[in-house]
Amino acid sequence: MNEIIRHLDRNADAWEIYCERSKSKSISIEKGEIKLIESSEDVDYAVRVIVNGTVGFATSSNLSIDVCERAIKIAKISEEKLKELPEGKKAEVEGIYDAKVEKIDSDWLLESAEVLINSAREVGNVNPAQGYVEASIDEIKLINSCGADLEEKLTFCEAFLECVIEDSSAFEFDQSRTSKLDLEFVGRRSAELALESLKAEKIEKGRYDIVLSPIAIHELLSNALYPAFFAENVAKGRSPLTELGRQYIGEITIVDDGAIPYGLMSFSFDDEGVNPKETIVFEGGVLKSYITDFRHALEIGIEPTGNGLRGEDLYPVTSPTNVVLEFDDVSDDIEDGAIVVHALIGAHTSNPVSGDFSLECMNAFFVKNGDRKAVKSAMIYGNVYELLRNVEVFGKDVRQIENTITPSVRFNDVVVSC
Amino acid sequence: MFYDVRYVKTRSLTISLENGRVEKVKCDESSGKAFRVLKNGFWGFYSTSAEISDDEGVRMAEENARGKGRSRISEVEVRSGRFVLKPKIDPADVSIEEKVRLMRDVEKALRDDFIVSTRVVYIENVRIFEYRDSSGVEVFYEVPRTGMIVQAVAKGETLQFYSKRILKPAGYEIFGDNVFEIAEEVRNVLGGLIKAKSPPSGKMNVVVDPSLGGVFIHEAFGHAVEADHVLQGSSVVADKIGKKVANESVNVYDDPTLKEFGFYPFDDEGVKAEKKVIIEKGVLKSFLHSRETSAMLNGKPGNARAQGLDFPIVRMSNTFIGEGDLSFEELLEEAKNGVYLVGSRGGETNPATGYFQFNAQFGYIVRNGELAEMIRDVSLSGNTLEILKDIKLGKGLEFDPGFCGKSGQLVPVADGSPPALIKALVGGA
Repeated sequence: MNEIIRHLDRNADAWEIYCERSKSKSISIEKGEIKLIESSEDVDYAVRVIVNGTVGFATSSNLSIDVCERAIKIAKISEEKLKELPEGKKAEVEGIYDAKVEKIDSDWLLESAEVLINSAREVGNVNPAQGYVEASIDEIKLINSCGADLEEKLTFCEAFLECVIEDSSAFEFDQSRTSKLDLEFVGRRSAELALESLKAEKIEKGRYDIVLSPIAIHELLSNALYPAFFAENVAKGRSPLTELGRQYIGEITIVDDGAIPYGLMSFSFDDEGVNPKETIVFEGGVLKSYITDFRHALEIGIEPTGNGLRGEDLYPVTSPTNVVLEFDDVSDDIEDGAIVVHALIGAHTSNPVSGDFSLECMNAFFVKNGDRKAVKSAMIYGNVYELLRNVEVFGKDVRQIENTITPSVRFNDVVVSC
Repeated sequence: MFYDVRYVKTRSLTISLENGRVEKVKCDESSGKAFRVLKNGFWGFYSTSAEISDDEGVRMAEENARGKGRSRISEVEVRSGRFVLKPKIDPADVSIEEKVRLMRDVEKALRDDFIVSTRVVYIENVRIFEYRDSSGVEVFYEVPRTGMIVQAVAKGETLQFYSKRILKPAGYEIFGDNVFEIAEEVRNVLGGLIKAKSPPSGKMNVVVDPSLGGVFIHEAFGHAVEADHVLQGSSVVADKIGKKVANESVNVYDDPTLKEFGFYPFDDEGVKAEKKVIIEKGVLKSFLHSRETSAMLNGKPGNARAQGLDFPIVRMSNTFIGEGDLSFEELLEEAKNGVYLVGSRGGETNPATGYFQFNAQFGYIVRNGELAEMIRDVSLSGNTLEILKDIKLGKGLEFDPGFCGKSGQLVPVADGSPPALIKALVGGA
């Protein structure tokens, strides 16, 4: 390690070494039977250097002089400008590591999978077609020449089940920073939804009120809206959200906050060494600020927001953390007279630049006077900004799905094609 | 007890040119090993990027084989093999400066008054794969993949974006006039898109171009015939082998031996790749199989693939509909009124219900058998068991490359089709 740091000190103006050590263990279910137990242990390194004001980057499963040399060579042709790296600051965030996850073994997984399967079967004669329970531990280390020397451990658990009966299918899942997963809920709900979706009928094409579940809200907004409030996309002309202070959507408040206790996307420092913080993106529908990685914060001249995250390629880019949706009007009963949609098919094909989407609904129900009728093959169509101007009311069933924290939301006047 | 060992090594370089500036250059070299053990009908799996002996890895996997199950696997016919795809021009022999120069030239062809943002991405990677199992199968391959993605955003009354790509299992020789042609096309299409109207909605006649037709068949049928869905009891075509699922003009294949983006010489279970007939003259002939699903359902293996070190699952490769005999004009005449839709950002399917969604990048209204005004991007949906009954097929098969996601794993694929006429639900205004 010291030799590598000496090499970087001699050959780069600034440098950063990021190391991610991940351990995971999971169990898979197929047609109501337990089929497979997997475990993996991976170490990945990313080296970022600044040479004469431009960035070089290289990754490898081994840290060596060679990977540093590759990063330095790339800095010479890169035009990615950067003056410095974050000094490294940590926030105290509760509930992102649970020591119990380290103790998860095959027996725990076998028991959990049994609970999933049994909870589904107790509901009715469904096929618990495919599912899994997974636990993972990520150990992050980040050091750079600007003073950062940070490390932390994060834990994450997930349970997923898809149930099938005849030509009907539904899925549910639960995700947590701790080993506490609501397995009964996942098993029961996926079975109930599959059963309720049997004997679906066509509805008339037209405009309807629709209620999107937290899952559907996440699927839609993470594809059609979130990229539009990344500072980089705004600066590069790929976003319609060009004017701070302008009202773009209805009176919804949208906040990105990487420091929420027990948040699925919370951490004490982002993948570049910036501490997480609360960023109000929309306040009552008015665009207040963007979220950004470190490089674009410097380039555009705004404060870093702690949104520099690394995906599989380990290159830090802007990414939302925990995105919280809030609205003044909240009610227990928001479904009557509306089409309630549990999930969407094809949300990744939404247009992130225009905000246009047209998506197939999965497990949709028309609710009238307490009666729920399953709806067969319906597509919702529209533009995400228009849709968010037509919010009527929020439900109270708040939950976190990946990086979205929201209840179900009722929208007026949505085009449904069928 | 059965076991197998995979050693996977990859080298990759990605360069982005964003609004004319070289950014996000990523260079990766990684390797690792993955081990599977099948014991008492139950699978144990272990993978790591750290150094590990095969014996130790198999032992770790065996520790996970803790349950009892019914899994079995089939034997492999071709027991050893070696394949090295030698590119005509090895990307490693081309300087990074030269690659950037080509990208800059392509970016220049994108520019226009109405273009507000451009992105050109260069991709190269090499996958080196070694496999051996307890029955004595041993294979090795080395396959490079090279390509370029060209995207731009245009501003008129609305912001619009459009993207095209060239990706092949080959080297630097794939770049010629083609990258300039797609840049030109991206610019031209965007010039129209910023003035284009909202698409119509409802069930209607849709003429699809080969690129959209490819995504259509991938979503409409490809996923449903992946036999792991059949084993899970979650495929609408599970009981349809030997039965009519399409009209007689329809032939659908999956062929990993074609040198398109989904190419592989051996799958991730060491099985030699071969062409599979999925639908012949409208009759469902076979599923796509892993060694496990082929043993359980009496099929042929060769379709198990993995991203990196992940557990191999049943996947498509180069999936396509065979050509028909109608000209493009005849397809428009047959459609009479409806839409002609082009290109795709992908789609998604639920094999258990047969409902699928796929997206088109732009199109035109078809009125009285002729192309009329341009329309914006829109998605379509349909059901596997209904959609191929009335399909009409044109001439001129073309492939489009992409990445297909399943169970959190992305693998390179290509989808192919001639222009075709289908009846689908269009989700427009």
